[in-house]
Amino acid sequence: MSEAAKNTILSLENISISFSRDYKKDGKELTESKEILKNISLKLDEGEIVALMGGNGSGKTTLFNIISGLLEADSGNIVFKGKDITFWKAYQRAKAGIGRMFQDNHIFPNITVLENMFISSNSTFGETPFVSLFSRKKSISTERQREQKADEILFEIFAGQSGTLLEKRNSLAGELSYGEKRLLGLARIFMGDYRLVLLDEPSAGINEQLTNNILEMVKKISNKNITVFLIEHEKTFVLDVSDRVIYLKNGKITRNAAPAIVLSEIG
Amino acid sequence: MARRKGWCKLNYLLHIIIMINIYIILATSTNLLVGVTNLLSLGQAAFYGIGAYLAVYALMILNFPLIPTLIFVFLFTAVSSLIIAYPSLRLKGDYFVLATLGFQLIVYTVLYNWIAVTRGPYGISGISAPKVLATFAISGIIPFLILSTLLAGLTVYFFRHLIHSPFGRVLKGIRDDEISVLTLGRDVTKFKVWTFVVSSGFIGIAGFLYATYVSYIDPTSFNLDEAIFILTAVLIGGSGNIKGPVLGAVFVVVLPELLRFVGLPDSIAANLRQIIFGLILIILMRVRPWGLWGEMRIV
Repeated sequence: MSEAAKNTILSLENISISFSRDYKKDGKELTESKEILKNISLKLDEGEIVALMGGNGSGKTTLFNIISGLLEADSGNIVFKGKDITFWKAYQRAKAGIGRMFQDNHIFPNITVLENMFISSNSTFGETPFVSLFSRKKSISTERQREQKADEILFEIFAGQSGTLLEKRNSLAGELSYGEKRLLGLARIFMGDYRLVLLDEPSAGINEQLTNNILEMVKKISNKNITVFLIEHEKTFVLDVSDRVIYLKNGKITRNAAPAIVLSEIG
Repeated sequence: MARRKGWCKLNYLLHIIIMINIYIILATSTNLLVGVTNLLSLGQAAFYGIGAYLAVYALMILNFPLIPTLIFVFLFTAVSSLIIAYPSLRLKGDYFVLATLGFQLIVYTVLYNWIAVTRGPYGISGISAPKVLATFAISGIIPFLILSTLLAGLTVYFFRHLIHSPFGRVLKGIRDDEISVLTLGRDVTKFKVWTFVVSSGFIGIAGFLYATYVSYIDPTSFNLDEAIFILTAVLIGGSGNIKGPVLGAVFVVVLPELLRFVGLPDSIAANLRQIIFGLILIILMRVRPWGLWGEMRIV
């Protein structure tokens, strides 16, 4: 587990969101609205690992989408590193230091493992059409630096294991197994310069060996004083890794305490 | 007499090579949008037309020589693409396709009806040959062959480099998973606008080549049929890499020429050409959706 909590890195104040749908009944046009999150307020500290738990449809992924800027809340404020980012776009939030790993492997299947790592790099040199053509020397050296960093990350994560992503660095990411894709999704986090990482069910659907890999990776992220906010159903995983558990029920926070306490309460 | 016949055959062959060069520029530029970034655009012939008319303006009104004309055409066609890029790039999927179709129809209508400027359906004839250093005029088939090969070669080199650059890598990322690119801190809209601008600029160059080579343009050369024809070259040859669109360009130019030798009656030859292209597309989409030489994709 990580060291004691330090400064607040993320603060949510009264976040609410509801989804509505239009439908017809007896020839009348009606609108049905469902409140997914109700006045969510929470704080995350630097280097903390916080697990977000709750049943299906409790609003966990919606909350992650709001924090990462993929959804706009109906009301409330989001403060990250002391700045109000409520109206920032997703890419601006990522640039500011909010990383995201999705539940359904949002990796790029038609480029290699290494290219997946490169695209996640915080260095964006050469990403305008004419720069890489006219600044070839710098472009090549930047690519080498990216490659070195990606190799170091893959080596550090999988040191001593065979058949790892390091050996498959030039394979298309779409050819990896499900578990390897999840590892790649997590490995990409290390390429960025994030201060807060949102992990959506990192251990879902993978075997014990890979779960242990992911567990170690989460700890390594936290050791770099990066805050980890993760959605997880696996209780042993939560107990092993997290400092705190927040429990959501019907869009409301019902518990916010140490893992052992929350897990014993929810049974 | 025999020598004259031989010269005619050679001229015919060189003409085909020039047309292939023009279509290589059109197909490789369109590939950046369609194949690399997954933005299916039906508005490419509009930029082709804009480039052609801008070339006429630069050569005949401004009396620009070759290089300034190329720069002028490239820049202004690229800038004109912003008119459609900004509003339409906020749309996704089918809506984006429809927006580009709308743009194509608007440009065609303007070219057709703005008679004071474009001479509408009468077209503009006698387009002056571009001059190098204000003295040597590029007219005749050999100078055009050299110019078109040079420009097609530069275009292929540029797009090949671009596809393999960090910029191209982000475009492939957008093609595979736009949401993921956003959450990695890249402004997807900015990348799409760049793609549109660069692609349109080069298509403008193809318009310049066409206008100066044929020395006559009218709006029917830049209509929806032409837009679909350009797209067909990319889809048949294959997209995502540089080999596919180049092969597609060769294919769509050479196939109709080959059909001439089959001895089809003139009354059905043009329609049959369309039917054959249609059939090839249907078969390809069924058995080889990535085209003849395109990049195979994992869905």
